[in-house]
Amino acid sequence: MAQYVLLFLEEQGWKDQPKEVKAPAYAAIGTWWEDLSQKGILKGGGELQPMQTATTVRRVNGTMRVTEGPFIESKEHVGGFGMIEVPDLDAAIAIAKSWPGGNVEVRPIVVH
Amino acid sequence: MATYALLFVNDESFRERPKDEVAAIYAEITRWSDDLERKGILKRGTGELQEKRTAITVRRVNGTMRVFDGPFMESKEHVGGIAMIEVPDLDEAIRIAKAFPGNVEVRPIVVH
Repeated sequence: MAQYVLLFLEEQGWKDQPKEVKAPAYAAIGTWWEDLSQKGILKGGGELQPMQTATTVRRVNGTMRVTEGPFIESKEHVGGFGMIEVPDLDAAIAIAKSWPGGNVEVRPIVVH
Repeated sequence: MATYALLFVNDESFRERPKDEVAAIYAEITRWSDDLERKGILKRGTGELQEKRTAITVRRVNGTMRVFDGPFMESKEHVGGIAMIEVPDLDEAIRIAKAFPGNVEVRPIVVH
């Protein structure tokens, strides 16, 4: 078995959509999340609050500086993540394809 | 208590540094995470991601999920790892991020 992280991508402004738009999406995501957790595939993860709540800490000339905002300003950013345990990358991609929320980046985890 | 995601951000240039320097960085990261684990601050769903070149992105295009090589965004810096921490507030989350030997984006988790 191998572990993968799914980075769920969110477009700026998604959270400002009306409730009627968001509610069915969240319902589908809730079902997906519960199903994979029950099967023991989903090992952890969560939904991140919107980009504007981000704080970035950077090492600048040896000291850590705190700035408001995400590490990069972009239309799309990480909106949540999940850690899954599956036999191989094909299985990870199949699960990513079943994500009802939108676009997903799939990345293998380093085994230490 | 509140849960925060830490997105570790890097440009992967550290991997080209001399072996002993890379080993020293990993040793510092291990100390950092062991300490948080002992204190019960570090939650499930934490790990280091393999290099950016291992990323695959699944995107919904005209209603079907298509698979692309590469991360969701081409940029010098990218997410290199994720951790979830449980702390009283953002100040404490930032303090922990500052103790990490690298750049970190701090994002609160949505409570469902």
